[in-house]
Amino acid sequence: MYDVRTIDLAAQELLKKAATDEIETVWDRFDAQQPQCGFGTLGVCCRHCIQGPCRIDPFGQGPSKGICGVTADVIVARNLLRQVAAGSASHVDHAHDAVEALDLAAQGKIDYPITDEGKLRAIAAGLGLDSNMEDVNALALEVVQAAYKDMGNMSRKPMNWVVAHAPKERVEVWEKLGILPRNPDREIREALYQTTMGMDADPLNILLAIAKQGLVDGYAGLKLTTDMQDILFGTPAPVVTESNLGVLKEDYVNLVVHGHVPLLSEKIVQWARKLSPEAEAVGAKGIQVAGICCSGNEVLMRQGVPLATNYLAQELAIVTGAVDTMVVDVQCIMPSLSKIASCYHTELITTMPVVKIPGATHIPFSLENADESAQEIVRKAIKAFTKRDPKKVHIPNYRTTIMAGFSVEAISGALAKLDAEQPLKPLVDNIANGNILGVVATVGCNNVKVTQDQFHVEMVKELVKNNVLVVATGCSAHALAKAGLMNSEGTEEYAGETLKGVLKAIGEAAGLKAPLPPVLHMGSCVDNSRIGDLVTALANYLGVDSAALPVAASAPEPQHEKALSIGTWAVTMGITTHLGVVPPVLGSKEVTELLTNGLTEVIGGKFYVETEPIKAAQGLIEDIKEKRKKLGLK
Amino acid sequence: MKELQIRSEVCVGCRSCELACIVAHSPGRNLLSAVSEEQSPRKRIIIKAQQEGNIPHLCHHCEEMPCVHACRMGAMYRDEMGFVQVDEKECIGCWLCIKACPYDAITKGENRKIIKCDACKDNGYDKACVSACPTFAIQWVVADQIMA
Repeated sequence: MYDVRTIDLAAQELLKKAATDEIETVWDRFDAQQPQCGFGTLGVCCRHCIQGPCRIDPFGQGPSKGICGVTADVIVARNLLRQVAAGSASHVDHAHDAVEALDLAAQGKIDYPITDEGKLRAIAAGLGLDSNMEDVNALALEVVQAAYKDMGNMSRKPMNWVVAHAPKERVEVWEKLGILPRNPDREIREALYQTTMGMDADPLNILLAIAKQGLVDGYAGLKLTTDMQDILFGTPAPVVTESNLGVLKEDYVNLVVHGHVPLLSEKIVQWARKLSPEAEAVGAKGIQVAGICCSGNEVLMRQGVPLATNYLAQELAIVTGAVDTMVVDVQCIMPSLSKIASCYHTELITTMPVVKIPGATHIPFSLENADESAQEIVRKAIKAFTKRDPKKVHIPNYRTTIMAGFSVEAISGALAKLDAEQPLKPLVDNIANGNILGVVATVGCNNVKVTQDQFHVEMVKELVKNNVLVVATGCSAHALAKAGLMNSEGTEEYAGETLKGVLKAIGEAAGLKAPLPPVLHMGSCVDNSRIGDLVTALANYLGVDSAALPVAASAPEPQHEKALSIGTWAVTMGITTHLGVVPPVLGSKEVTELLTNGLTEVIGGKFYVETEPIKAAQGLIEDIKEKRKKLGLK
Repeated sequence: MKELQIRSEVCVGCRSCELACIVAHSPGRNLLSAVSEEQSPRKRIIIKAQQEGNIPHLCHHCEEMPCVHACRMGAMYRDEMGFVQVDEKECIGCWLCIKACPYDAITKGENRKIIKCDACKDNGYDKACVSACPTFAIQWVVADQIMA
């Protein structure tokens, strides 16, 4: 249990206001849930058939098997497979929407651009298509057909998106293990099937199915989504803006986008700019768009829109009394938002067919009517602004400068200023000579079980102090942005000497007139694909397996099933993946052992659980040093 | 003096009290460390499904204390806080207390020693089963406030 709820000073201030306003928050509900069920915590409860529920006594004094004879090992493994499959399903559905958008855009049926022709051609080339085709729309349709072919692949052949994009050494490993996915929907269906009553009773076989879900998530979810979204909206390049709730403005219409899919939020940003005169007409100085969770990260990366806050403080954004409209799409949306919005003037708007909340206004979004929906939403925000009660407004005066937009293309672009022929060479050289000890990717959520942002920030400070370069996505990126780890001052303050030297050199060469930040913001949770692309590029450049690289991953405060599927993908890439909150697997010694140790020999990666931030940093540094040693590096 | 109140009609049989009891008597007093400890302490509360519903069986530390009277070794006594305890050194495992208990709350342990609720005396009498119960089926309440 935590001592303090959050280290975010804006959130701390708003928690006091929430108490005064008698607003119940996620922390109050967490307290009310205590103590949480031990069987669920350990993963030994099975509800897969209606002879149950069954639970195994983890202390061996009660039942050791479920009614059907299932053991704790199998129950734990099955539960984990279902969770990971649900995480993958989230990203695969997101990917499907993005592919469909490119399809309709290329056919000229919807008003979406194809912004990044270069990315389109690069992806087409990677898929073995004729990337020099003159007609951009025709080429886009070929890429779309290749994606659809994967998504609807009825043959036994593996998905092309995996084989075309993963390191060759990895594909061989996965093929040997029989975990190359055929099509994402089929694998997700198989996971449900494999775990129903009377099916798989071999924990090891189920763990391999979990690894397969990791690949579904990585390639049919994350990678496919980012590829499509970059083609549509552009590949991110460095942008400078601010983060934390202080970005809301008292004299502006404040419109907050929250969720994960940029298909609507891109349009909202566009229309907020166009309709600014209408806001001025009602007495506002303009329209301030700000983002929560990954919709926030998406429009930050491509449009420079400031970040409002991350997952745990989403309710507190409304408690400012200054949010005129919060528009949500999918994932990580707390159902409590509508109750809280009803205590202020805030209009909560749901937009997606699979996320409706009683009490919210539902404005259905479709690709065909995106412009109309976006205009309606912006106009609702303008109207809500006129109803704002100044007595209820309190915007905490906290905002931090951040530099974001570090796609792999942007990183290569900056490095190309040092070596145009081989952009990765300066990075690899500095890793080889030890100026950069290694790279850690911090990803994932906030989790109310631990003090908000604390694990992200404390662990990362320790890592960069030890000259580890950190890249971040998702709510981890939000946390590190708020804490000042994503600006040049952060490099001066927190980075170790040799890392600082490298960041200064690249920053100067790239014409930034300041060091690169010690933590590079690589985007939303689906943009973990960018980290995968970077790892793959490094592995290909060096001609080694990605499992050999001095690279590690961490989800310091994981909350969502998506964090488990992303983490699983990282493990299948051969990467040591740290979790700062214990997942529900400890009820099985066998499964715990396989995940944290036993599977390493066959798959290269492993999960590493450590609930103390500094110890976790030290553990990751040890892992990196071990890999450096094996590569013959000091 | 407070008395134990069991409300079997709200007991959902989740067995959270059993887990909490074991954890409270384990060296680490933490669920996640207790599952990895070599040997776990025996639980002192057992949920039994009976005709009238799920009934948590644990020592009521009752006024009559037939177990104390049944014990020929003088191993059982009421402590200064009013809870019935067993002095393990004196217990010879004759099981007479088990026969005497009307609540079926004492069980046979290892090495011919009995196992019974100690009211979490080593944890300041902060009773783990009471805190763990999500439906408040187990409570210690002042005698005249017992709900009908």
